[in-house]
Amino acid sequence: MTERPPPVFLERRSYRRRRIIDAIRVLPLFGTALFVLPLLWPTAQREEATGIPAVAMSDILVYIFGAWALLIAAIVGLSYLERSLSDDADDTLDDWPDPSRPESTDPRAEREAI
Amino acid sequence: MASLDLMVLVCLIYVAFLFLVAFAAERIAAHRTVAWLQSPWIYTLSLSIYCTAWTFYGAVGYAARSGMEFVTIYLGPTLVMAGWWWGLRKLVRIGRSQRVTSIADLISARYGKSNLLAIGVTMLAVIGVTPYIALQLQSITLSFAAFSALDPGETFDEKLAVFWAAGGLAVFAILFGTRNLDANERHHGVVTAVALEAVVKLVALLSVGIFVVWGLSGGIGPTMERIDASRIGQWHVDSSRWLTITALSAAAFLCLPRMFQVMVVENSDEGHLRTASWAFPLYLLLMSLFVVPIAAVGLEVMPDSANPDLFVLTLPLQEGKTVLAMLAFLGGFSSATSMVIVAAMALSTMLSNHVVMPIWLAFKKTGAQVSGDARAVVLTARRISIAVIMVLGYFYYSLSGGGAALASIGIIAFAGVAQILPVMIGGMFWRGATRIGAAVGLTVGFVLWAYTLLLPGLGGGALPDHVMAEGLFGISWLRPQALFGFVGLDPVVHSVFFSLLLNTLTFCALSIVTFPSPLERLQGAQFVNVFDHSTAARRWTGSVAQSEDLMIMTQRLLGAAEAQSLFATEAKRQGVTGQLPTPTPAFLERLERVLSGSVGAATAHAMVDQIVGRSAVSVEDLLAVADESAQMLEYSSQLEAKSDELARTAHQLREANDKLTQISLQKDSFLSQVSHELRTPMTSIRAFSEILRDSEALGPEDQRRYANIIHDEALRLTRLLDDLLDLSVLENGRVTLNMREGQLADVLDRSVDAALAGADRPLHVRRKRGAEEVEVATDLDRLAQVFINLITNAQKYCDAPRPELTIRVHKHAAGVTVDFLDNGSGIPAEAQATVFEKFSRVHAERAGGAGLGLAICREIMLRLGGDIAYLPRPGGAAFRVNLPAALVREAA
Repeated sequence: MTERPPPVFLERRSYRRRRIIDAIRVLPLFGTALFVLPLLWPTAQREEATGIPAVAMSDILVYIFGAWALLIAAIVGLSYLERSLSDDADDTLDDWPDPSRPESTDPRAEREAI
Repeated sequence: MASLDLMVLVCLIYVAFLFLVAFAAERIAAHRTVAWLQSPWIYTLSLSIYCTAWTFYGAVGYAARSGMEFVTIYLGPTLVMAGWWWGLRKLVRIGRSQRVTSIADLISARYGKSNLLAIGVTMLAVIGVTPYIALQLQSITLSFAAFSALDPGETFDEKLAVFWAAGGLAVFAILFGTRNLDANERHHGVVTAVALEAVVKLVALLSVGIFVVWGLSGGIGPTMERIDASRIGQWHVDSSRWLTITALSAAAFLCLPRMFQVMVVENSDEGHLRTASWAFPLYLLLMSLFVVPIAAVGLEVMPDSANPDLFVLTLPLQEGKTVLAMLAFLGGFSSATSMVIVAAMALSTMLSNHVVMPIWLAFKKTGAQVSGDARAVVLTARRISIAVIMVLGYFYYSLSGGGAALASIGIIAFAGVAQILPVMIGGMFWRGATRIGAAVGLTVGFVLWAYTLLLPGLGGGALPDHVMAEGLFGISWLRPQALFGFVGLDPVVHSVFFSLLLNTLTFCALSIVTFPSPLERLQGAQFVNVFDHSTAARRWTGSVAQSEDLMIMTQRLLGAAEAQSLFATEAKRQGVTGQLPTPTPAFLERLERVLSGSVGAATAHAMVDQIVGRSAVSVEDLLAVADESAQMLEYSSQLEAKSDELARTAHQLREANDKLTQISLQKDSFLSQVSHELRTPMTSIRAFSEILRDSEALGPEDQRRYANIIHDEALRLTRLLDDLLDLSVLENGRVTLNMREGQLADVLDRSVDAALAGADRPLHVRRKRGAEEVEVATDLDRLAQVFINLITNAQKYCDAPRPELTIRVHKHAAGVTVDFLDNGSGIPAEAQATVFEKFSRVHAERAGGAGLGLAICREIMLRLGGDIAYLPRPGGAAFRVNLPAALVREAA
């Protein structure tokens, strides 16, 4: 098997897809940030010390569920985009080796390496 | 008013309906692939067993006590689903490629198929999940109690209700989960029923929510005002708990045995994750959308003594909406039943695979040979395991006395199973993680969790008071809720932080220090690089290449000669000519045994596995080996058997084809040789007859000479045609043998006389008369023909100055051998292999015959039931004629 070095530049479409996958990867971080944010808001416990009135429960409700819906929308949107950019319709996420690992396609070579 | 009897009736009808659905789904799935049964929606809905009765009823109670914090239980899983590309995708792929049957199986497979780890994880899971099952029992009992409270005529015995609930759920789980034994541990029926229950509980909670918001409060705006005015109307949060419980629920979502069961084991298509990644968070969002309104309105409307855990049920009842209350009850009932069924199934799989079966196989070494035997044991083990788990849950409930102590048990269970997380994540992403590290890390985590959270949480003196106050052995750093002097932390935060931290630390540290076994390293590579090794869909790979690979590997381990003879023997056994046998299960098993002699059983297994692509050693594999006939019933094995069969047939066809081609080539060369042989005498006959005809001036001397030549050539032609005819008659088996009895000595006498009559060179024949006194019953003329041929050959071709032929007769148990040994230079080695072929002549320059004599001899001997062979030896040619015992009579 001849090993060619991976191409330096990708086709525009593949490039776009890879960036979308990057976005998908970042989603949990984004979600965590969204859900941790309310901890910074004025609470009832701190109201006595600082005098700043605590945020009302209804606002918190709206924020939490809003953020939640936003996260879900982001997952749907990115997933849809990634899929529409992938080459075959019944893509099974197969052709996506992790770019951080060197690719090795010869199973026999792997067996030797272990 | 809903009477208790009616409630029981409704429950029974509902359960019967669920069972019908499960049964129908299983029937349909058994016969054909139905798209909707394996749709991503069913998968997503089945994930909803995350929402148990604890979350169905308890979330409202939680919100009524602590405000918004309840939502963290749902935020964790949401984040896990959002990060599906990192974690779940890999987990599901590993689960499929390693054919994992449970989370204990996953951990054990990763760390070198260590059964000790599997048992550890199983125990941890049982201890962690049992209280959780008790919680479900409590919720069912409480909801019954809520209904019976409205019906003063009824007497309600709580203990009895719990007992019946536990018994009913056990029967239900056994009926559902252990009806059959599937090779992939997939249960279409259960998954479909669980999905249906997911819809029921969602509809129930949404209905109650809509009733509260629009029916009781008059819309969204007024509801918001009521919320703000209630006791939980202000933002009130403990940051450390918020973070800890979010992380904990995320961890538990991955590690809970029941979640692992539906998420990984029951997953039939990786693509479903894509849908579930947003649909499941949406489900969770809907499940929690109305929690705060229900809690706030409940706190306002209901009397102070009312249990906020039951607001979902008691609010509609209070308002006289019996049907809605009934729906809410069914929702809670659904949550409890689906959780208990799947959890009991998952735990029983773990218990039977990792605890019961190894013990059973160890005790009963020969038992697995009876067909169907082991399957029955597995099923029985699972049924008993389910019963045991339910009994444990029942006792836990009875001992803890129910009530408030149970409310926090959900979190405690989460913290327990979360101890598996570091080992699991480490195993998936870090090749350096070792078995020892995993075992010790898990133990440390488990002990700390039990000491700091489980035992103190039990209450009622599980830990003595002085230990709680002063620490173990009076060491203040060992106080269960203030390790290392960290006083004043929330107990959950404290326990989760220290147990997970020390768990991870010991796991990593020991992994770095210790050295993994080859199998661990192999499995580690397979787990971490799973996307390089596997494909999304399972494929039945071709087999010839596998045979070659197996051969290469075996040669490396055993040495070339031994490996080749092993494979050749196996090929012969399978009836395949050539060096490479087809890799049938039986052959692989034998090969593995041979290899394990030199590298150890586990490694041999892993190596053969890696080449053939069979997956992890599970009990199923053991069963497959021990009980092939029963396992053949499984659909997948059938496929495998068929593909093997096809490969074998193809191999045989290829060989038949090769043989035919070879025969066709032989026929062609035979024809061309025959024409060549006929042509030579024909040419000289034609030439000399033309000379005779055309030349006028020939003297009578020349005429006679030419006529002689023509006559000789015609004789040669006739002899050749006679030989060919003889050979064809012999080869076609149409020869009639004239069987007679006679002395071997007489036959030899006749043969020597006939062969040497008129010979131009003298040949001295040496014989031992004594040994030739053997009576044979065969076609004596044909036998004589063989002998004549051999003697004539010696006479013609022996190139010694004083040609000698020794005829030796040996008698032995298998018959009689007659050796013809001359003192010539023998037949050259390269010609020995073909000396019995048609038209093969050793000395082309001394052409006496057409090269058919020995071919005829061989055919005759075959017809007579014996054989003839050339014996390579120094100092002359040697032919051995074997007469089998059947042809030999005892000498008189």
